[in-house]
Amino acid sequence: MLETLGYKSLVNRYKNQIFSYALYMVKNRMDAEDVSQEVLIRLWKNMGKFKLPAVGSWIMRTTHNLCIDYLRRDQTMKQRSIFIDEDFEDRIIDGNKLNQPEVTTLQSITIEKIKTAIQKLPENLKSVFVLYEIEGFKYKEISDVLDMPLNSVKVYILRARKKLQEELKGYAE
Amino acid sequence: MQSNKNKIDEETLDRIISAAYKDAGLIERLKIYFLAKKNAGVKSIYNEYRTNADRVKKIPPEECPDSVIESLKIKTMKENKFFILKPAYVFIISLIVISTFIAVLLYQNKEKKPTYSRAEIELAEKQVKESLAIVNRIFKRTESLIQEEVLPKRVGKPIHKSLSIINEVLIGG
Repeated sequence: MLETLGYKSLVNRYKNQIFSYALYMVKNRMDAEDVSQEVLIRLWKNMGKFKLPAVGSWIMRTTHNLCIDYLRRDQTMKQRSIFIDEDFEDRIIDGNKLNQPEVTTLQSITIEKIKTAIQKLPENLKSVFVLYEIEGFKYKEISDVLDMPLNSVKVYILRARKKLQEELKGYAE
Repeated sequence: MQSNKNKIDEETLDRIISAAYKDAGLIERLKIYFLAKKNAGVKSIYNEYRTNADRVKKIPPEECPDSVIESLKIKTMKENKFFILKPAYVFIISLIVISTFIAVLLYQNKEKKPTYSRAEIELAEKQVKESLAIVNRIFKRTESLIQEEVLPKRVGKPIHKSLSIINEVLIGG
């Protein structure tokens, strides 16, 4: 009974983080949903096997590993991601806003374009960037989740920011 | 921006990015602020990174669809932990179930033990006696039939005849 309650609260606490991370990594909603579901099932099966303070790291590590598995398994991922990206932009771009004179070219980059640009980052940079900037993890936590030296985490975040800047410049031009 | 970037060394660029993303400490950020005041190139790069940093920080986590949680309920119910109990619990539960089953069987057998009235018992005894009398009469008739009919005529006669033949052969007349 207590375990079920604990599980429910963990699901509520982490479901969006899991889905969000998965969506950035696998780049399509269907696979992101599958990954999220699998993570939450594994969480249920492993309830009581890990200490509560480490649960966040455990969840994100599992999510990351599953995303990598999905990416490796899916041979057609590249084609699908292109399709999804197009879909993403069609849904998101606010045409009216772009016509407003006060909105500069740079400002016309919508949040969704940034999301798309993040999705285009290489996997190793993207995982670190999303965990740090979107999910709000600390350097140390990311180092634990991705089993990566602390310095590498810092370097990857810096590289990801530069890469993202270049990517967004492409949108602005 | 490319020309500005060329003028700025990699280390300074990293510092600018960290300041723009507010990773750097207050003193470092002030240094970059004053540097940007003096150098238009630094200012431009800082502003560009700062704009995108603000946008990145505004990205909310994706909402996990309800369908994921709904199907999760079904799956976790199917894989309920009750069915993956520890062996000790399984043993105790099995013991209880088997004991209950045996107890029910015994109780039912006790219940089914027939109870007869005195009259019924007397009637049954009478019927048994009558049956036995019939059987007795049959056996007696069979006995007399064997003694009076079968033995003298069917058995005695052929034996007597056979013995006379043997005597004739042996004694010769």
